[in-house]
Amino acid sequence: MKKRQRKVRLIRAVIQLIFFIVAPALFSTAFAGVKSIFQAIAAGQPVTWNSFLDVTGALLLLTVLFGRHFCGYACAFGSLGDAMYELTVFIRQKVFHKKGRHGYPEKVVRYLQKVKYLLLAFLLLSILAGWYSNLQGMSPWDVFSMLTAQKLPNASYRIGIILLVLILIGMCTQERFFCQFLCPMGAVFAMMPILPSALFKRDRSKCPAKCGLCRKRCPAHLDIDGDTLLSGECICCHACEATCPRKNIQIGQEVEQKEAEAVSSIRGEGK
Amino acid sequence: MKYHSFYMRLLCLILIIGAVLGYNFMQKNDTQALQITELTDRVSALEEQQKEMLTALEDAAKAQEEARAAAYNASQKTETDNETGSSDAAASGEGVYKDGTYTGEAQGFGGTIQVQVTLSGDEITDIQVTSAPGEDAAYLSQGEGVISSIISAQSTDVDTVSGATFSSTGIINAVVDALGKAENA
Repeated sequence: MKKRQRKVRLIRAVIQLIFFIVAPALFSTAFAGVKSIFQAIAAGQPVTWNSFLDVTGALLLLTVLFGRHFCGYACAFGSLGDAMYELTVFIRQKVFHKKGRHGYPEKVVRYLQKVKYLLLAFLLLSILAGWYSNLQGMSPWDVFSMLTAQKLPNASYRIGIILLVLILIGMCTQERFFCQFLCPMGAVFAMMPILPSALFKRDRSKCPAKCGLCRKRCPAHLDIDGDTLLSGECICCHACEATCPRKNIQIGQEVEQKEAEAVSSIRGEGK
Repeated sequence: MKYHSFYMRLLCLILIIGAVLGYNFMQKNDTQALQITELTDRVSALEEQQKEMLTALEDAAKAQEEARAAAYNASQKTETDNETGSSDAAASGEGVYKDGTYTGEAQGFGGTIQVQVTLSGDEITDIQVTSAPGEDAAYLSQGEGVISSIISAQSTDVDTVSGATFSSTGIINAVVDALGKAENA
């Protein structure tokens, strides 16, 4: 069982590393596309398709069709968060002999997950209101993309550097800290109508009572159950799938889902 | 309802896309109306210009005759003036820039951007980005939008492309560099 988890994690880490080296700017390019729409509206010009929107459109389409695998496997900033968190887990284990994966309580995670929507609304409204240019130098993403381009940010990026450091510290305290709580592009992804066939589903009929391992292991502490209000928060890390000792969790599989629902409704658990 | 959240999100997405398309449609109508007023303005301006030119022609014919009469009187003076006048004319004929193709370089986001500027008759006719190894493809092609504004303004004093500030600034500075090489010493 542990072996299976490690294998899934390793495969993901390799893919993440490749994307980190080859395309570290994808996430900020995608958000630049979203921004370009609002910049055009703020300037009173027609919205025109541009090279940023190529990236945004492709990623959103992939997300709708196959879930947020971009977030889980390809986003450089998400990979950075994973690296910071796993490093902290490793240090805790080796130095402080504390086992297990630390994080915030589920309730706190739920509340913090809403912050990213506020941040997205704030950024887009500030573009429309025309004072987005005042935020120049405050974006931690700008600082990050400069560093990945092997370029040192200058003093005008002071606030951005401070924010990036704070985010890096936050990344150590909770798995996928930035993606869940702060990422404005993550907020856009989470609002996408992801096809139900691309969501993780759980065959509840096979679950022992009071197991909940998947929910505990999930970085977003989701109740894995196909299409729910929170299913957009799933970043497709496949941890639940690898954790489940009975292999009850899988992506899609319409037939099994129907069977599961039929069984659960017989047992009086259907919602 | 099954897939309740999915349908809600789908509805939201369709509404957002619809809002953007609707906005674009209204913008199109607005610009068309604007173009029509612009064109009518231009037509009336041209008509006025035509009248002015006609009257100016008449005036010029009169002035020419007067000047011809005056030229006889002043003919002896002009000999000394001619020398300085001709050297001025030679300088302005040469122009600010030499014709030809010049390359310039400047720092972009992740490295050096190299551009090729073609000049003819003091006019920037073409700008090509020849190499930009450090630039992200999406940002570079967005930043290249600045080229058309440089050519239409015939100046490097143009706004950078928002969202691709570094790439567009790099292109502008590279063009400045190229123009510096093309300057007549």
